[in-house]
Amino acid sequence: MSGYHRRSYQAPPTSYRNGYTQDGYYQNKPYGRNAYDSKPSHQSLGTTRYDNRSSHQTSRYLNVPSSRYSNAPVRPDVASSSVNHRSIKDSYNRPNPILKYQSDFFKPKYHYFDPISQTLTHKDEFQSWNDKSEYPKDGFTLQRDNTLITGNKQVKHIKVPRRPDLLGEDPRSSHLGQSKPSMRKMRTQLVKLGRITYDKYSVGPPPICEIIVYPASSVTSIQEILIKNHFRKFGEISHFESFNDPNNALPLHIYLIKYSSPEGKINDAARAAYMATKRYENEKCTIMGSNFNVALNKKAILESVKAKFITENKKMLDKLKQEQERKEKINAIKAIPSASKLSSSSIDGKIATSKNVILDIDDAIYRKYYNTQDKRVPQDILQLVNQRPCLYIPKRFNVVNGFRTENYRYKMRNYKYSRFIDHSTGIYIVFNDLKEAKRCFDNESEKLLLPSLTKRISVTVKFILLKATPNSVGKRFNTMSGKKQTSESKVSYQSKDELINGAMKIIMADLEKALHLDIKRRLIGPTIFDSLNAENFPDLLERKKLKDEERKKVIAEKRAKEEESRKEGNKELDIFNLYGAHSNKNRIKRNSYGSDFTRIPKRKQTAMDITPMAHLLNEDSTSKEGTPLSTDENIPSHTSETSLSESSSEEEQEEQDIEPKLKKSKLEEGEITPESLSDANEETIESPENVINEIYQPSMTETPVPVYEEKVTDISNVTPFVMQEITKDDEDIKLLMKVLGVESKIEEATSLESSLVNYELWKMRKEESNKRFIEESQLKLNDNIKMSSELQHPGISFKARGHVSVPDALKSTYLPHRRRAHKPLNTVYTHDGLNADKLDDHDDSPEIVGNSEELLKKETQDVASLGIEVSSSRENRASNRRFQQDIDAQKAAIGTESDLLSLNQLNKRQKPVTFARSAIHNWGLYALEPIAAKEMIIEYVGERLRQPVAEMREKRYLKSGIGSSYLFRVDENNVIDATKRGGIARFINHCCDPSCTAKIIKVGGKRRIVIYALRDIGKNEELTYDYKFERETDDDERLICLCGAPNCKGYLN
Amino acid sequence: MDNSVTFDEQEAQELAEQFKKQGYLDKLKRDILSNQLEKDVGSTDPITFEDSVKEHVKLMVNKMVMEDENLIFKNRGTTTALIETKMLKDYYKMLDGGPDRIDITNYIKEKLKDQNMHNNIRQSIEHLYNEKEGSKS
Repeated sequence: MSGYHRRSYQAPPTSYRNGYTQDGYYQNKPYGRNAYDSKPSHQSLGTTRYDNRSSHQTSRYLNVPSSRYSNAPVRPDVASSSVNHRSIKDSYNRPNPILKYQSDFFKPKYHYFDPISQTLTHKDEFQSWNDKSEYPKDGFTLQRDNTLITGNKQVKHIKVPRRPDLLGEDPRSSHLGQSKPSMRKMRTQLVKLGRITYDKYSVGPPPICEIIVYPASSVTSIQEILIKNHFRKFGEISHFESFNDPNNALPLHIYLIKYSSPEGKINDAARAAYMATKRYENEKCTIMGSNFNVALNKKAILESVKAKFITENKKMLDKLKQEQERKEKINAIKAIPSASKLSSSSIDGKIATSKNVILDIDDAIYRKYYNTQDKRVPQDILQLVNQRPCLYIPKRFNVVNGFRTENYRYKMRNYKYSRFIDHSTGIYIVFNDLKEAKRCFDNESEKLLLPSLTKRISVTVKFILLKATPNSVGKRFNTMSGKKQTSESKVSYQSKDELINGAMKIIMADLEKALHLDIKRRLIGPTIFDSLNAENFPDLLERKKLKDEERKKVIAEKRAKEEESRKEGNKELDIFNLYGAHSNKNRIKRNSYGSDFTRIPKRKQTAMDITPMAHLLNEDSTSKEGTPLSTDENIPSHTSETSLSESSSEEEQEEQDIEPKLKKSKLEEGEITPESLSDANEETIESPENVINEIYQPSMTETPVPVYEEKVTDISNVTPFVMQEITKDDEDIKLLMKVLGVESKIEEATSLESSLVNYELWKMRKEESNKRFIEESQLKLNDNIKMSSELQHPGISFKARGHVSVPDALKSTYLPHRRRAHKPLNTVYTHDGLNADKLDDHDDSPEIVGNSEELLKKETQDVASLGIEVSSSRENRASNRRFQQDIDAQKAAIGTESDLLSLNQLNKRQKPVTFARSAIHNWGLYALEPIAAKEMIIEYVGERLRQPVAEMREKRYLKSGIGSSYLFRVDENNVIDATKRGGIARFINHCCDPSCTAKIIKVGGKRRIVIYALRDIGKNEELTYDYKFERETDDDERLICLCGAPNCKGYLN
Repeated sequence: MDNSVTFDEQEAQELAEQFKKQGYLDKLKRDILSNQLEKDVGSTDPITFEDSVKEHVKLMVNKMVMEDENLIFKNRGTTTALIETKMLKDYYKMLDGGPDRIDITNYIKEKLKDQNMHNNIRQSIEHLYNEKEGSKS
């Protein structure tokens, strides 16, 4: 900007300034920072930087018109104020500019600026858009309102005035501290780019198609072709090269493999190389037991590897050389003294000399050579080594390589070793003499190659030679070992006499020994054996025999008794066979039990002259054909009557009290009803006159005796049959007619009528007899208990009545297994004999009492016979406990918790029980064997629940219709539920006079419910215990007790 | 053979071995066992040591059986072994209880002290030794 401009700015006329700034338009640049500043004074208050800018812009506006629209570089103040001078100066000046846009079209435009008058033509119409100073001067930004976060989570934005005067702040810096942890994985290295295929556009070197294979560990000889073949699977190999050590021309086992890239398909080759290296990136490539590393041949890796191996080989060689030198030295040392001594020593003294030779060698060298690092034979095998030299192989070496004595034994077969000792410190190979040990050492130490059992290499065995330990140790040992072994303690005899004495001593000692042995073996032993023979004691033998016989007898008796009792037991009602499967034997038994009401075997039935129903029906129809009308003429009614009576005679025979003779003679007489005294009867009466006379003959007695036996009948209930029975003859009928006031003028019945009457009569009689028969058999079936009237519904058949639930009380009247409910449960021993008395009171039938007495006897016997068992149950338990401990120990050894081994201690003690239908309620638990008092019977097993769960379950069971409750409370918090899962102990019913009791005992820290016998319990007796329910106040909720005990409370709760 | 030559135990052992092999030891043993008891010497019905031991044992066993008759009905072999060890444990003291005592241990001791026997043995050993030397040279 020029100085001129600055000048023009520096002295603006205040009037103008004010004029322009009043509307705020000129002052500000409409979109400038001062846009909202209505106060012109504010302008000067701004910061310098800002000021500069604004002033500059102002100046632009100010001088634009002057520079652009006036031709002279007139100062604006001059141009606007001094109009009078213009005419003078104008003459020199350029002509007035032709204003291009001063057309009528532009003039009405809102922002038209008249350059001549230098005014905005529509200035008066201008309006400030920020009249109410609604917006901050510097503009605003919308920001999220953090202070007012409403419940509905609507983001509110507030206007925040811009502060251009302040330096901006990096918003990220405020987040730095509280930024969320990134979920991105931390990268420890740069991520590789995907492989980019190499093509003609690629810049840079072509991908590597070569790999090198170099040994990871020492390699035994391996054929190159194997390597080649191994890597052929990745791709076609174009070049294969192996390298040798330049120093010794031995193979380095380093191979260079180049994959071929035919027709410029370099990518395939690169891929093959890449795959090969990738495959063996994390593992060793094992070919024929040798491990190799595989790497891409880049950055001259081949050369470095080669160099490395060559130097290594060289080092090894150097080492070997040094070793060789060392050995040579030692050999030289060895050779010198031995050579010097050899001349002086004889051949048979070789052992001694060689020993000397070795001992002569300087100790240090010796130690170094034989690796004896002050190693000594351990104390515990000193006796075995016995001052002999031995070769020692440290344990560490053996463990690392997995060697055992067997591995060495084979290799050492050529040496005369004495023995191998496998000790905790290592293996000791004991030699009888030092020379052999040394020979072995020289030949084998660090030369003996053994294939390691743990690694894939062979290792050389390094022996450590242990010389015979000095006497300091050996002597102490010698004293212990006694006279026999060592040569030092040898007894030597100086003369022949002494020798003989010595021999004598030996012989005498032997003789004594032999004598004792002989006495023992030959004399005493066989004598005892012989005299122990049972036949030497005939009296004892006999006694024994007698005893045996007695015992046998006792056993036999016992058996017989058992058999008997079993039989007796079978005679009783066999509740166990009432339901469920039963064997053939049982079926027969059942038959015999029900045989009272003429159940005839099938074959017999057919043998008897009973025709099948179909045939009977046919016969009936034929007889109907010849119905009354036709028969009355053809067949005499007399015959028809007889046939009828005959058919019914079977039943009648039972009721007729008349002697058979009489009955035969006047068959029809007895059956004729007073009503049916028709002509037909008359006929019959007339015809057998002789017979009647017989009856009416005078008797031989003093006082006249009635012809027929007098029978007292209940007049109140006269049925036709009673009448029939009473009326025996014509006289009776006459009297009867008189009583009833019936005239004898009965119309003579037609034959049809008479036959109908006869039929009706027969039918009635039949029905009557049937009914009686049914009643009787029902009674028999039901143990003489009459069927409850509630169960009898004469109107409809039972089936037609539909579903009706029969109350338990009623059920017990007809269900066979319930019948016992009215009798006391048979008990074997009662605590106080009180129960026995009650028993008698309760029993109305004497036979039952007798039965129960028998039962008592029998069961006492049973218990007596079982006495042994009862007493040994304690031992049993002890052995079980031991068994349990065993199992626990095994469990611990196995370490896993397996159900297979889990053992329920209580199961072992469980008594044989079974469940069957019960007289008390649905099912009950029964003892299969007599149980002594205080014995454990069974555990109440079930799911262990907490109280709330139990409550919930109870409700659920009730809802689902499981009426019976099998929940058993252990304590306040625990309940055992046997409803769905549990043992048969749940079947035990309640009884007010229980035979058992439930105890809560702790087994292995857990509370369990165990049922114990309160008193002695007989075989087949139902087990019961007192449920001890809480008393229910609501009468509807109360459960009726059906236990039938004499002291029954009537309710369970 | 001069006296200076020493003999070690081995040779004595060998001699003893030789002695046994000739059957002398067995013979000695038999003699001792079948020896008549001193008090019976000269009697018309002499009882050998062997027999008397047997007799005593029998008596003892009978006594034991009387005490516990079950002994004869048990396993004979094991019972025998048990009784035998019981006897050996207290050095045949169980046998002393009889009417005429018999002390096996003492009897053997005494017998072994018999000088005659010693001389006999010595002679036979010498003989054996000479034979051996003779065969050697």
